[in-house]
Amino acid sequence: MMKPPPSADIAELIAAARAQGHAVLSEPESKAFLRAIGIPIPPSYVVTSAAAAAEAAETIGCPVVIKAVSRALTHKTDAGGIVFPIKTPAAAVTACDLIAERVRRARPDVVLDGFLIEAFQPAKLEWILSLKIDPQFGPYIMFGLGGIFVELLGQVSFRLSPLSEMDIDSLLAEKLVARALEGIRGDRPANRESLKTAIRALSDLGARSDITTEIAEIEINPLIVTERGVLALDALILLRSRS
Amino acid sequence: MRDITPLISPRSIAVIGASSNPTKSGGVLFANLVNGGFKGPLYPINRGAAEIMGHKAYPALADVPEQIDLVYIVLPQAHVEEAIKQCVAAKARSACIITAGFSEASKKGRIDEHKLRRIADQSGLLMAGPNTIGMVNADCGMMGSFVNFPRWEKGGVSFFTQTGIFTGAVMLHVMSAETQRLPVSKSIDVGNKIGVDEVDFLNFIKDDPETKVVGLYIESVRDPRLFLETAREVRKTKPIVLLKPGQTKEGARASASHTGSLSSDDKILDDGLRQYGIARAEDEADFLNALRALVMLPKPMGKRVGIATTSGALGVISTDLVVRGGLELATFEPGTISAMRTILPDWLEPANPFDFWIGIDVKGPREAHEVGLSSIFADSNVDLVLCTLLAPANADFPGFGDLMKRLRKTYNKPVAVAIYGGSARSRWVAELEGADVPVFNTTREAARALSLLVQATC
Repeated sequence: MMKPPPSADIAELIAAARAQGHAVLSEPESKAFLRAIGIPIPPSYVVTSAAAAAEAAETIGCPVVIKAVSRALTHKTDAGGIVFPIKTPAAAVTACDLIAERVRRARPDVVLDGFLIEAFQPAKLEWILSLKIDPQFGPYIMFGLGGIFVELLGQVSFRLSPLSEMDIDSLLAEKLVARALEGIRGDRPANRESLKTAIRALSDLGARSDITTEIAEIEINPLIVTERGVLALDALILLRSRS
Repeated sequence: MRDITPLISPRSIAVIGASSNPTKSGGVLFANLVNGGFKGPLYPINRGAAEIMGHKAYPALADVPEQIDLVYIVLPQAHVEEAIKQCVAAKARSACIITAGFSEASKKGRIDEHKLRRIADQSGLLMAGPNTIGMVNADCGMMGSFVNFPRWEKGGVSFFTQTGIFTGAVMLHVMSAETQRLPVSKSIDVGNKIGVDEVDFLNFIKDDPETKVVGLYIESVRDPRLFLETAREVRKTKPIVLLKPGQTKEGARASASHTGSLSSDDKILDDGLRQYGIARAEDEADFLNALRALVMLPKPMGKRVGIATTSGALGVISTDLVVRGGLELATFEPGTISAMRTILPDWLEPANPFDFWIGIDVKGPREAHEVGLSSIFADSNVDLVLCTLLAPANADFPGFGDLMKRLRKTYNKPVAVAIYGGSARSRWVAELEGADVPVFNTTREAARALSLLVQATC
């Protein structure tokens, strides 16, 4: 059984998670959310068996990346829940078994909902882009160097939402960001417009009260930015607690 | 939004704890109010006295024949709560609690302070303090502090501070300066900040005709979003400099995602301040320097700096400071370069920074400074001028101050000056008095003041 990530409008995604009593959207749901607000995501399928994973890999075209799907697993890398690059459909079968086994060992409490099979996108540099609805500061955007080095490097900047065009430009003009977007080690310059569109999309959500009353945080990490545009490789959406 | 005019600009003042004893805080504060020339009725509250310094004394607040705008409370800690209750009963509009010994001192103090806060919240009484040196408003002659400021220079800067004695020390320091004194309109110290806060102050100061520039010393921001939004409004007409220490402590915010643990509140505040154009000072000198630059200088047209110097080393140092401070080096126009050539030997090509020391040998100190400085001021690519000059005997000439005054007035561009060494230094600085040309102790301070000027106004 093979299905693409749910396509729905964002209110429906939030309502569905609420109805099931979840405070977190799964990665496929979070990505469907992003796609709905115009932020590109890689081609992907959600499957519930290793056999279906092979079929999905075939359809998407190798190499692919395979990830464990579970709302409880917010740090997939730590639990061994990601395998890439998968170069053949046969390898996809082995990868699913491997992920299931590793997650079982690292997080015995977690029951997997399935596997996410996604086109593999190598990137030299990973970014983090998030919208947070903070009890003190209200909605704000965070942008900077992401991936697994966010905490180590701490190279992130903040802007209160809504961001003006000048604010977005100033985010992209931060020293390290500006240099990286020009393209490192022979890369072509990044598509700045696509990045600005993504930042604007999140910032606009921060100005909508129907969103800010429901969502605590939308985090895209990693986001890759190439000459072709941005692509959200992973995403996590946290809902506000209803207590 | 509440109006805090009765607290900052009262029409009438009572002082509970006023006395004629000059060794007691209550005595000093009352004397300062009298000698400062407060422009309204003053009511000393004292059970034992018939009059204090020519003002009829009353045994209790309730005995005063009018509704009071502001009541200073200068009593031992144990009597403060009772005094606040008197204020509420007498329908006083505001109170300033000078007394210390509350949350800053002990656990019991914290409990006592909480009681005061509850009374303020329930009654709507505007409250400053406890633990404050008091409040000064030069416009209504209110020297409401137990620190005496005999040389108050009235002018366009207004302060809001959340601290005890620091404000007094800073004000004394400012007012004791022989030159380059900071002109101050209002200094409101709210001490432990249990009532009136920074947002109340900003809402008041926005429409205050006397205030041109705002200085805030805050230890904690009560509502960061509201503060930033309000500051952004005020900043449209009045630049703001914030000194808020405690920039450390990364992380530690619980969240299921990565972001929570790295987004320290101060970094968000810091970026938010930058986004909203509020200059943030690093320490007390930085704070006062920025305020001096802001009150003396016009808004820059851009961020391109022309550097005038008589030292190659200071020129290089200045360049680093300017660029690191987020400013740019101006590219001089051809006409400027031609003018500069007239004071240099043929083999020397003028550039930015412009070091014209050798011009002193070629043309003498007066012409070298005249051409060196005026060519930079006149250049239309220059938005700000940074002067870092040497003043040994051979660089000295009569009329340095007049030259700078003329340039400052003619071109109306922001300028910051540092002058090093030499017998002439103090005379040059003295000659700049009244010229709206800020002089700083070091090149770093001068360059930094220009950076903060740009942050706060552009």
